[in-house]
Amino acid sequence: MRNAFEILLADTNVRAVLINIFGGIMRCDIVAGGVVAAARTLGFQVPVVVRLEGTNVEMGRKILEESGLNFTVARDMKDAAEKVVRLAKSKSKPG
Amino acid sequence: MSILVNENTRLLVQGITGREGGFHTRQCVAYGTRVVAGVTPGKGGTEADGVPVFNTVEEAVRKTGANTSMIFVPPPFAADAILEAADARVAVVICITEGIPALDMVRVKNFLDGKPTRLIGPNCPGIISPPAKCKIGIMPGAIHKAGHVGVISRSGTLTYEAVGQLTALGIGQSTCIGIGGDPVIGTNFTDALRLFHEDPETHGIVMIGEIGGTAEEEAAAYIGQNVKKPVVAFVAGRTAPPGRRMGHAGAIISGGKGTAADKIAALEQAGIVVAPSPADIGPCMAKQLAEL
Repeated sequence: MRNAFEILLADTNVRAVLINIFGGIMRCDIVAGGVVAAARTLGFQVPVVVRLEGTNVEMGRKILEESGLNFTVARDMKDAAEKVVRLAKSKSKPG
Repeated sequence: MSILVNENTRLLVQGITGREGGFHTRQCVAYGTRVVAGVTPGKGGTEADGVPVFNTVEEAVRKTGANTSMIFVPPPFAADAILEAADARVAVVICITEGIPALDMVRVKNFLDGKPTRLIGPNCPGIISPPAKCKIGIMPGAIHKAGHVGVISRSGTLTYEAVGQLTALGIGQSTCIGIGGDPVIGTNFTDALRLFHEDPETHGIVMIGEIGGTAEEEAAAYIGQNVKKPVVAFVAGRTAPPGRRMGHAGAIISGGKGTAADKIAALEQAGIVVAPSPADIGPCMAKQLAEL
């Protein structure tokens, strides 16, 4: 998770990040823990939208909420796409 | 009520003693699947979570009456595992393994030609039938609901996405099949469509394709000529740049062929509803079923 964020955020054209997980094999609590840990280490400068569904989804959402970090949580795929586009547009072009 | 698997399915697991094989076998058992044997060469005579392990598929079939196999064997040995299952006359072989060399699969396809064994995959999530309480693969069992929509897909996660939407809308599934994301696979869209077409308990079909190859175009032609049940399709990779492989070995636009636009056009020409976004698959099927 941390490596993925490092690669993404190394590109200064990235204005928002969408994480969309339908946990089949991967459990949502593990994904959420990874996102929180990466956010604490790297300190995100861009908005992050997280959509979790599937195995252990409640635990995953709770981890995100209780982290005190500023994530936008989305209900489903459509909601997530709309939210991330809105956030990306609202953030002025990086200069 | 289901295709390819049912309550008479007796499953053997090739690679049951591996980490993934063991974990997912337990998940399948928890869903209700009857797992009767495991096969790992050299570990015959032992047990894995109470399931007897044999050295060969032939012995496992002879001693347990297994008729279906799920394969979790690493890529270099997976083709041979399929051949061994076919040689032991296993009726349905589901190969989960990703990364089998395409040339190995060409050899396997050639061997299976004309044999009674049906192969699903490789590089697929497997098959699940909620009405038969039979799950063979790595999909999350809890998102499924027993019902009458058949799902066929080249993509694992998009299958879960579609099933999750259907279940949330109260629409159950008869059988869901991941046919795999490799360029050379056993059961293709048209094979699976034919089975759903002939299954009286399947009332509608969701088909999830992606860029690369011509399987969607062939499926569109088959549906146009044969299938009267409502079909909702989705094609992944509309923004894929030509020449770039998109996650799956088989998902690549090569020589200008295999684009999403071509596939969507072929499907729509055959009268099939194509969902504009993956978030619309469930609602599109709900609308189709309401019009029946």
